[in-house]
Amino acid sequence: MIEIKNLKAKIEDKEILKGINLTIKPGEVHAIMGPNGSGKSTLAQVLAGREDYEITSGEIIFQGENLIELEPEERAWRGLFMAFQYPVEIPGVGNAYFLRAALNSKRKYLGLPEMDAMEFMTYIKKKMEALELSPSMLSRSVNEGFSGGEKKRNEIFQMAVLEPTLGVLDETDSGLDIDALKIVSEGVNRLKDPSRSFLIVTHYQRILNYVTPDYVHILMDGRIVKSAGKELALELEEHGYSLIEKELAANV
Amino acid sequence: MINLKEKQIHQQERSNSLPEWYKSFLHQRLTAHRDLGLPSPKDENWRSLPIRDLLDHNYIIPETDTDLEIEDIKEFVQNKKKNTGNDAINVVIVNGKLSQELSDDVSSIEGLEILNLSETLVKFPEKLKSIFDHSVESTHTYAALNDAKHTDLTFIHLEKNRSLPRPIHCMYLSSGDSTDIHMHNTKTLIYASKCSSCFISESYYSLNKTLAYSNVTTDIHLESSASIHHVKIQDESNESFHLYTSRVYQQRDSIFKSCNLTFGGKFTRNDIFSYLDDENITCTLDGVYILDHQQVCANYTSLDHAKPNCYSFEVYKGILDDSSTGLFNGKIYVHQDAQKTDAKQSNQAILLSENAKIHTKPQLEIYADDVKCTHGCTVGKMDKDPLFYLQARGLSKKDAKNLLIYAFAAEVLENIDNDHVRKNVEERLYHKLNNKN
Repeated sequence: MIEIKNLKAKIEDKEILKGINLTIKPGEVHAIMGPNGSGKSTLAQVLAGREDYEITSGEIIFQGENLIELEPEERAWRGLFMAFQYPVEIPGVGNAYFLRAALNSKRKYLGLPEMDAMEFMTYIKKKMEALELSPSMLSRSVNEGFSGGEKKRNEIFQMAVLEPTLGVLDETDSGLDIDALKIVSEGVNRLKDPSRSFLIVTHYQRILNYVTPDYVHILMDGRIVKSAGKELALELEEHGYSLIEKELAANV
Repeated sequence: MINLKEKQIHQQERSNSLPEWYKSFLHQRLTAHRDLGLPSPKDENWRSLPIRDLLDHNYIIPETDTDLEIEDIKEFVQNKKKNTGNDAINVVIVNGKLSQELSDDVSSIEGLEILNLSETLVKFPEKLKSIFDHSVESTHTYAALNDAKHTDLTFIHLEKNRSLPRPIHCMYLSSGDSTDIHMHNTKTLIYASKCSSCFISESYYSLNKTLAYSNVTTDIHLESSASIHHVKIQDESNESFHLYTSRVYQQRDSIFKSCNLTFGGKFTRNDIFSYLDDENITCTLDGVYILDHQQVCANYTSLDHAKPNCYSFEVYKGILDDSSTGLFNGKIYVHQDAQKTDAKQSNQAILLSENAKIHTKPQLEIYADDVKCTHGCTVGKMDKDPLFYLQARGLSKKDAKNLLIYAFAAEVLENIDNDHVRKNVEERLYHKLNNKN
């Protein structure tokens, strides 16, 4: 599905990703955990194609194609989706218009006919209900005046509409209360599919109680320092990142 | 074709038929124009504007109507009419002259009259005089020139208590001349009597791509409790010089809402003066200008709060690409007597290129102590975060950019209450953006 090889990236003159290697196979759920400043969000943004970061080396092979030279929209058309940590408010742009435009751009790329407004409404109705989003939000501006929870649910809703092959969730759990966290997690679980993979970027273990990962990786100072099964997340929860730091220090 | 001798006789006759007060108005305004002279770069009222282009061309003011074949412009007019909707009352003005032949017949519409100069002098001399009396003070040299040199005018009169259900669309067509540069002094007067209301739009188009000057004045008089929703669209060719002055005079409880849109023109200057001369008046002056290449657009607005308890709202938005230049100068003058004035002004601009320039100057002069006046101004590049968000969802960079520009302008455009006009303006905006990048 995706193979990240020796990926290095910097912003201004600061190197943030210092050689990431990660392979995700179809149907797998991977979690990336790490303390603040470890480069988790940078990794998510670099995957989505944010141009503020300069890739200094490495490759991102997504379904056999190197993404690095592609624009963010070209990555989206190929099936990559990033749920934003901070979904952007865009006054004046209606949710429904925006989402239909996004969906139709992808359909156009895939050689499918565009969906008209009526078809689109039918298509999204159930998906909205599942995420407990009120239909009135469709006529509002993108994320404008949404609560923190609504914004995150909207991200998952967009993911459900766009049906990506790889969903990257950038700290989707942060700022959510337990009810919202459950709704969001269920939204993700519903999308699980043998041909679809997820990369969950998170600081805390708690979302992983609801969305079970196949693999957990620990990111520190721009490198993946430890990878294991889902038990690693529980270990972290108990001992914190300091234990890993000690382990690493002992190995040096 | 009229030969020269006939032209002179024509001139003579016209002059003889004018009443004394009118002739003295023309004379007085010519003196005012001569006293003010042509603009200079040092002139406070023209500073920051690249006016060399404007001054480098010697124009002539055609004394009689340009010889245009009606047949040639009929198709143009028909096409434009398609955009205005079936219920529209279309008024066509060619090179400053009201064309009865191209305009819709309004004789069956009760309470509305659309007249040329000679008809107005017969029917509404007092009202015409009243507009002139109130419009003279606040003006600049080109408006004075228009006042002095117009050969005809269009007078739109709404009788009292008349609420016009159909929108009025004035279409101004101008043509350049291949040998001389012509200046067309187009004059329109809108008179809304007590408790009347209407929607009126003014669109300016070029009939050819030859350089021409449109020197325009639109003076608007609102009697008490009258209400006008006004939209002005400058969509002339990028070869045209367009100088537009609107003098708005408002009486008690009247509402004036205006949206000033600039798409075309090589050099466009809009001056809008509003005089709020009694209590409980609302005046909204909004605008959007979208410029590229070497286009220049300057918007000067002046809101005169003369009496207490009035409201004014003003939002101007600029979108500037390539080497275009924009200017916003917003003056709010609150007289000592104008307590409880509530005035809000904002000017925002997006610069899409390193070479685009915007000058912005709010000017608040407040002589009353119990007022609410706010102003704000933001100038910036396009925000990266929303752009990335839209792209990450699959919108192409171009579509994402255009959508964000559209959203930026939408705050102003969504206030246009006429669906046909609003849709047209939105399409025009998209068209201009799409032909761009």
